[in-house]
Amino acid sequence: MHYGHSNEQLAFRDTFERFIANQYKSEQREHYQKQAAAYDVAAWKSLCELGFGSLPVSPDHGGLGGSMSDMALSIQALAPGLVLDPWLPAIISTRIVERIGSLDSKTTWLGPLMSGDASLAVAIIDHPGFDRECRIRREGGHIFLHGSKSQVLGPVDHGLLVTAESEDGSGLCTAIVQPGVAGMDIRSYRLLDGSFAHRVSFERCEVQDSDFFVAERGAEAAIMATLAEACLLLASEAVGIMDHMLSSTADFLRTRRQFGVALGSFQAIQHRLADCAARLELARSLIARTAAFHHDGVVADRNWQASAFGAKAFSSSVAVMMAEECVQFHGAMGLTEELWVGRAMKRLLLIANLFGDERAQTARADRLRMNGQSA
Amino acid sequence: MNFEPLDVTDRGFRDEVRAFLTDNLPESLRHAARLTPSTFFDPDIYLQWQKILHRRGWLAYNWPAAEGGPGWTPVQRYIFERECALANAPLLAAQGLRFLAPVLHHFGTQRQKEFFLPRILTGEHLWCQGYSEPEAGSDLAALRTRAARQGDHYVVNGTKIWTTNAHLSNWIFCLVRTNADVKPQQGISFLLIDMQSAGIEVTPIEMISGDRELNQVFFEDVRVPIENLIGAEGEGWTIAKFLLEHERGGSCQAPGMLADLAELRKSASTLRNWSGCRLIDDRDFMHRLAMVELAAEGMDAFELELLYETASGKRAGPKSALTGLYIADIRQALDRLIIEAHGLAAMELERRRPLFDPRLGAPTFSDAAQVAAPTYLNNRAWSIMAGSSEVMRTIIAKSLLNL
Repeated sequence: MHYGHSNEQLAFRDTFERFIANQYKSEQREHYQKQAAAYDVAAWKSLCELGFGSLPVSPDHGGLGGSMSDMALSIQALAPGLVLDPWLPAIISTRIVERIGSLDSKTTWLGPLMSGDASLAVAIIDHPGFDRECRIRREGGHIFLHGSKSQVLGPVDHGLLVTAESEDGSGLCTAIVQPGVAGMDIRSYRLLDGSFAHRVSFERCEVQDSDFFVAERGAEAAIMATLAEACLLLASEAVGIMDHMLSSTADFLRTRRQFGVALGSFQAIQHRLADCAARLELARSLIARTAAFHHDGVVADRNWQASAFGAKAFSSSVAVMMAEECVQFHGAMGLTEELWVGRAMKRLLLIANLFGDERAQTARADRLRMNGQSA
Repeated sequence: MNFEPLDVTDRGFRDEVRAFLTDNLPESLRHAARLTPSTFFDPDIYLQWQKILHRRGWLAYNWPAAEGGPGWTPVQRYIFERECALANAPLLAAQGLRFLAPVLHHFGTQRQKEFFLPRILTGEHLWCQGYSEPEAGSDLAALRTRAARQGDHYVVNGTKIWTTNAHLSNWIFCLVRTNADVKPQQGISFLLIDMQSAGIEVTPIEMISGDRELNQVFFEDVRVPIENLIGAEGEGWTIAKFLLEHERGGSCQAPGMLADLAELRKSASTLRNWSGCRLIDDRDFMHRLAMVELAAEGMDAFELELLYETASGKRAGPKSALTGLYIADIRQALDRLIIEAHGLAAMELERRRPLFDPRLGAPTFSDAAQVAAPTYLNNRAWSIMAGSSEVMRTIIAKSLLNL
């Protein structure tokens, strides 16, 4: 196993690094955040056109069929921009539509999702303390959704992709709820990084037949595999942010002078930043290996899924440590909205908690490994 | 994600190594390995294993093909070490095979190579390493043992400490001061010394674990022929740094940790904590176990990447400082978990050695519990030897972060 990057991957990385340099200067990001969706629709569309949108989709459906390593590296390249775009819901929704979506839904959604013309908000996991379990009930040829989701990610104006338990006993399934459907109540809130999430309740919300997905043997494995992929990509994003955090903090420590010397000359600081660098390399290697071992059969491969959840747990612990240390080294300035490092801390803290914190991830991984139960 | 070779050739190689280990690694050696709480094995044990490997042509597995190695790829070397760790093979003596050999390959004359290398392989020469001194530990450049040139000999006076297996070795490679009038680093040379020379005295040091493998070596007017100098006079510091990079990298430590972690995970279904709860149901323990496993897996992937780099001719350089830090941090975290897992059974400390001596009888609790405490105590050395973790952090800060 060797983790050298292919020329194609390097090209992608350059493209996305350029995108960040041109489209994500801090005043641009500030401006995007103030827009209705809390991201810039045109910037997101151009990112999709650069190939990001079609990367996760197989060539059978008109995508680029990028590998998990391709995606992980692309996210790493975008990460220092602290991008607000709905890349995560985009990847989750394309994967789920591709894996278990009806033929109709594939035709309807994959093209617009890849081009960035449409986005689906997603909620594929429940928090038992905040969510009422979503259930699908069939009444006289109609399909209705009941329940609530507390962290729906992505813009809600094209539709919401949510997981729900089917009352007819066919297990976990997925439904796309059309925007504006009767019985849906949406309360949007800002996440740490300035993007929107939504708290949504569904009371007898009707779902169109073609928007209702049940995999032949339950959608659960497909959803779990997609969640694992999303977790690995979030971990990879954290590594991209930390890379920049490490180098920019080292730059700062070389130039900032206190007590007549550069801050970086103090061993108390040197050793702590060295520890950050060392842990970061472990996270990077762990993610690179896990991504390299991704394969077409991951839906059935609980070990791979467990590794991806583990990679997120590990990266999250490194991310929080690194964010706290680097903000500390910047002193009071590190706590201002003006500096990148403070904004980066917020994104890292969010990443560490999205889809479950460290302990939730290792518990998930253990359950998958030990008895094959659902996570 | 535990490593599984993806490539068919690598899988075939893995199976070949596995079959070889099944057929050729005697249970007595596996048993001895399981009951050795130290990184340094009893020569009775490792020499047996060394002979078996030498017959198969695999002993010099990490030497370049031109120097008699089997010409393995980095992945093959990695697979070999991983399979050996999983099979509980005794560790080979690193001093000759892994530390001195690369130095000879790189800095030795043809005559030096021809004389010393084959004798490392046959086990005729057992090497120990004379680096640290009582007044030069982490600050190695402060070393004082001096070698004064007298005709075609150096005359060596001084002392070396923490010398692993010096009491069982017949050769020692030493850093000695050949010039006191230049910067400390510039006056150091690399010298090979026959332990049977007149004027050498070895005194053992007993460690808190009960092991007695470390020694202090005293040199009084020891005459060493000048042809035993490696490289040029004054080149010792360069050679020392080269060797330390090999000591920290150049072989994979993570597979052994992963094997121990797999063992610990298995025992979590039977061992119980102080509340009577099986460890496997103790989420706090299992989470901490998972985090150490993940760190070890990350390190495993990192070591393999580093193997690629060094095999392609690149020096590990400051990256070996990362390995140095990982070995200590992760190994020590793992040892803490093992102690915790075995609870009161890990509080027994048997000071007699070797632990696999049948005269000691069966362990009070279990093999794993018996080695837990001495292993923990011995492995505290990982953050001290071959450059303390503080030295590693300074190297990382200066060389990788440019602070």
